[in-house]
Amino acid sequence: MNRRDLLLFSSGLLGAGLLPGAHVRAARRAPFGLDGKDDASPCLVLVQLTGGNDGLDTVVPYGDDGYQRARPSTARTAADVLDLDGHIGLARPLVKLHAEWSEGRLGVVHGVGYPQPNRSHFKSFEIWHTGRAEGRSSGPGWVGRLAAHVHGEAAHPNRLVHVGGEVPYSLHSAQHPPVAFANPRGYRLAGQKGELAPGAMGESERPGDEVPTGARSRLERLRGVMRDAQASSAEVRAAVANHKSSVEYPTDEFAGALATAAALIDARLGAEVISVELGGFDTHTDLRRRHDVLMERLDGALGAFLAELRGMSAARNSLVVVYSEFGRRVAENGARGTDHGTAGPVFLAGPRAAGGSFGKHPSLTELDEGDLIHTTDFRAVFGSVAAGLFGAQPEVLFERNFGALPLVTRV
Amino acid sequence: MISILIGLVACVQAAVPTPPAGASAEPPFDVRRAEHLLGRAGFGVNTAEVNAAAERGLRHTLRLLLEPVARAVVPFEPENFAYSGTLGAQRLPPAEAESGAEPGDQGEMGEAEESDADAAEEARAAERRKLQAQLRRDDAAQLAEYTAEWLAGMVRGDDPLRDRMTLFWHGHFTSSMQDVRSSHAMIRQHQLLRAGALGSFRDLLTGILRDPAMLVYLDNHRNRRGNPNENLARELFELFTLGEGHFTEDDVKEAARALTGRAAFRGEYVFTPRRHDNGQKTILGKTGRFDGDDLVEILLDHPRTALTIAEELLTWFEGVAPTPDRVARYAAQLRASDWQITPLLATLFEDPDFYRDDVRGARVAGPLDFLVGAARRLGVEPPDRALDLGARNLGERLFFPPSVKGWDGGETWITTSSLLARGNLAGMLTGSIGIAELLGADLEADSMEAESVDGNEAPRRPRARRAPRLGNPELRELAGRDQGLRELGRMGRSGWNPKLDLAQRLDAAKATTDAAAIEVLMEDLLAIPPPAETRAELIGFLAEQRAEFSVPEDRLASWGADGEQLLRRMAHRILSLPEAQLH
Repeated sequence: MNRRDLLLFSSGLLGAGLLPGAHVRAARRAPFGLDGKDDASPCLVLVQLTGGNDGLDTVVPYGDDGYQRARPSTARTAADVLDLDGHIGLARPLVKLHAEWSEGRLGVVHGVGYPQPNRSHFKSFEIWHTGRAEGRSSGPGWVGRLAAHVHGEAAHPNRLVHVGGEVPYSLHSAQHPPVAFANPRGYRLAGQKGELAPGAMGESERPGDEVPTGARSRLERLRGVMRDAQASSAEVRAAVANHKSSVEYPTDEFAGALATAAALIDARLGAEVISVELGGFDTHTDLRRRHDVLMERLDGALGAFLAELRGMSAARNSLVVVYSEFGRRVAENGARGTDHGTAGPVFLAGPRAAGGSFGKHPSLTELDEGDLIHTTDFRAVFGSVAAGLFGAQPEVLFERNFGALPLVTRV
Repeated sequence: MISILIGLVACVQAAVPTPPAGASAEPPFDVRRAEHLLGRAGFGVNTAEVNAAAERGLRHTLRLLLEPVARAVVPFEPENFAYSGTLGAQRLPPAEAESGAEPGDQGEMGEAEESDADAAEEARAAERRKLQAQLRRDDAAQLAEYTAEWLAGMVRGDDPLRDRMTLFWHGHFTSSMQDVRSSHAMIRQHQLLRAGALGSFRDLLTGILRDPAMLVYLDNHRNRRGNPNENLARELFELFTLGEGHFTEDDVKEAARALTGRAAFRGEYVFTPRRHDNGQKTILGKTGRFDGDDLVEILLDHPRTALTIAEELLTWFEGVAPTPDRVARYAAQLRASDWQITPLLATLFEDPDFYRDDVRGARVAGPLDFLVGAARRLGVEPPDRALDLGARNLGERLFFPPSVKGWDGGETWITTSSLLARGNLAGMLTGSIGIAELLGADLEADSMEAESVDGNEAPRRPRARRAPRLGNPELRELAGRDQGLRELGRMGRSGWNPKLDLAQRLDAAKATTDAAAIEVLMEDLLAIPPPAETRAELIGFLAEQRAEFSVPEDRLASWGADGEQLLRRMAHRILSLPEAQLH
């Protein structure tokens, strides 16, 4: 976001009821700033840890007797953590994230969750993705709402991007449909001739045609996706082809997705939210071994990504948020694993992240049926991020303001 | 409703293809309806099959769909290769921990002895790793072979409804090879689901709670008296029967106790009484010393279970959310028929609501609906692993569902990249583009840097494509050890030439204009007719291509290889249309 945007957002235009629409976008696109670097558009990179990341095994209260007692065979000792404050530490494999912390660039929000926690992976994700207790039935995802709030109806194909397979519901939006691809090189229409995306210009609403009514709205959407695909795929492939990465990434899929995200940011395609996913966190068994592997994968990829963003002028307005659908139960189960639980930590990193510790670590003694009681609502996190990065009003995204946290640095 | 019930009796018991008097208000079972029924109950149909079904009438067509089919195929007997925990483990030399040596023992040895022991241990470990890798390869190859066989059956279409229902159950009672790590167990589960696909839900539910793959997938082997693991109990409630919001956390904990002691050992179901918690439990308001079978009865007694299954089935076949009163009606039928699936499907396929305008053509084809459907409409038999890998590319990897919830389906199948990839895969089926290319491998001949931003490549003449390289490291690795993919890579280089004669179809229909040629191809390849703009676009594209190849308009059907190649490109383009994604 450049200074003119900040002026727009702070000068009372929003308060006067003017929704930020195409004019704001136009302002953002206008070259501004003497050094020519002020046009780095804000970009939120959402890293989803799917399966329920064990928060206590990530940000570890190793100094707490309650923790050691609850996990006799899986607890980390002081030697198994990288200390944050003498009482809490990061899981041992999080070496690069710990270095970010030491430099004051990693934000850790403790005990993030929501009231009446749901222990279903799917329902809990719906709640995280929509910001509403009722989940999908409430409408679009929160990122979709954010795009509509900031841009009105002015859609742009590469604005919301998911790099990976299944698109998280948070990016769901009829007005601002996300683009999605796992492999940028395969993101193309092969062997086809002609500038038009096949069949993208058809109209099925003519009276007397043979298209059944139920198919018409689906076709409308499919034609929109076809047009977006044509525009987006060419830009994305060019972005990846032209990008020279300044760092070495690990070779796994998750790292590849983050490397692609870096290329998109570098190409200034106007991607404002980029979503990636790391799965495998449903550690009902063998927590110690499995979680170390996961933490190592997270740290390797994210560490490389953050290093690359740091050296990239187009990324000066970028922010990474790492979250999961729930934490896990405090006590380990009989299989040296942990079952579905409630609150967990959220990480913030990247150029716009304010480092430090936010919120209160949940109590390990005052539990709700064996589960942590959340101390920060996730909507306070997303709301503060949306406000800090995009000048959005949290109450528009989440019905009310769940509280402001200083998670994002000012430009 | 009465007429539907009469119809049901008529169709299940009698073979009389005469409609009951009450059905006369319903529009006749014409080609559009026949296309709808066969497209939804199976995997896509060609024009000849549709015409034959319409001729036969609804009753007769239904009877053919619902009657058990005796397959002349020998059932696949999976060898137990599993490298984790079962028979495969016996083939491995023991690891350090299993060999009886304590880590502390080494401290008593002299340095030379120690390094000798180290070297021996190192050699054993290396040998073990090698064998493990071999077992993993055997295991993956077996599952790939089985998957290819299932897909070939779908393309043959000799038992379409059973295959479609097996796919349904695979997404309902999910397990993933990712976690189960045994092709033997995955195949056995598939055979359970396929055998019972059209039978009784009670049997399926009972069977799946004794299924080795499921018990491993949802960690029930770790669910023991005094040390319960809730994974199976929770998903059993949430996804398999009641649905989210219809049970409490206590119900989950108590149900987990009822399921203790059930596990898999060497690929077989075992129940270990001493690991079973025989105490009193209270589950969904009932109290007793329940075990897993009691739990099945409690769930079948609960009104939510039938509603969940009825709703999922209606959504699966109709592609749009059913109204609550229809769900209730079908749930009632399911319970009244002691959970039999076939009568429910018979009712559905005669239900006027199944044929209504909101439902016809409104279902987003899943990757396999699309790929198998396209292969069947084209009349080609794709190379062995092409459909498996293609569907994987589109987000539907058989035996590897993305989560215990299965595949979300519907509009979530369509993303910007999957829509383009569908078009590319259609091009593989018509033989217009190379296989390696569409599987996501980057092509040396076509490197990113050299590519123009608009990304269109238009070879001016049909020609042998330059050899694509399997540049993607994952693909290269796969191709190195995977026979099927090596085959695909080779085909990608030479260009797969399907046995396909589109010119003959034009000839048979006496199509001598571009417009008529397009009509013939669209009729064969699409369930929904495209609008005027799209027809015009296709006709323009064909005219342009003809000009390039110097083919006269009225000679398209008799212009040899160039004419056929051109028609295949048209078929490729038609199958890339938005209309081709619906059925």
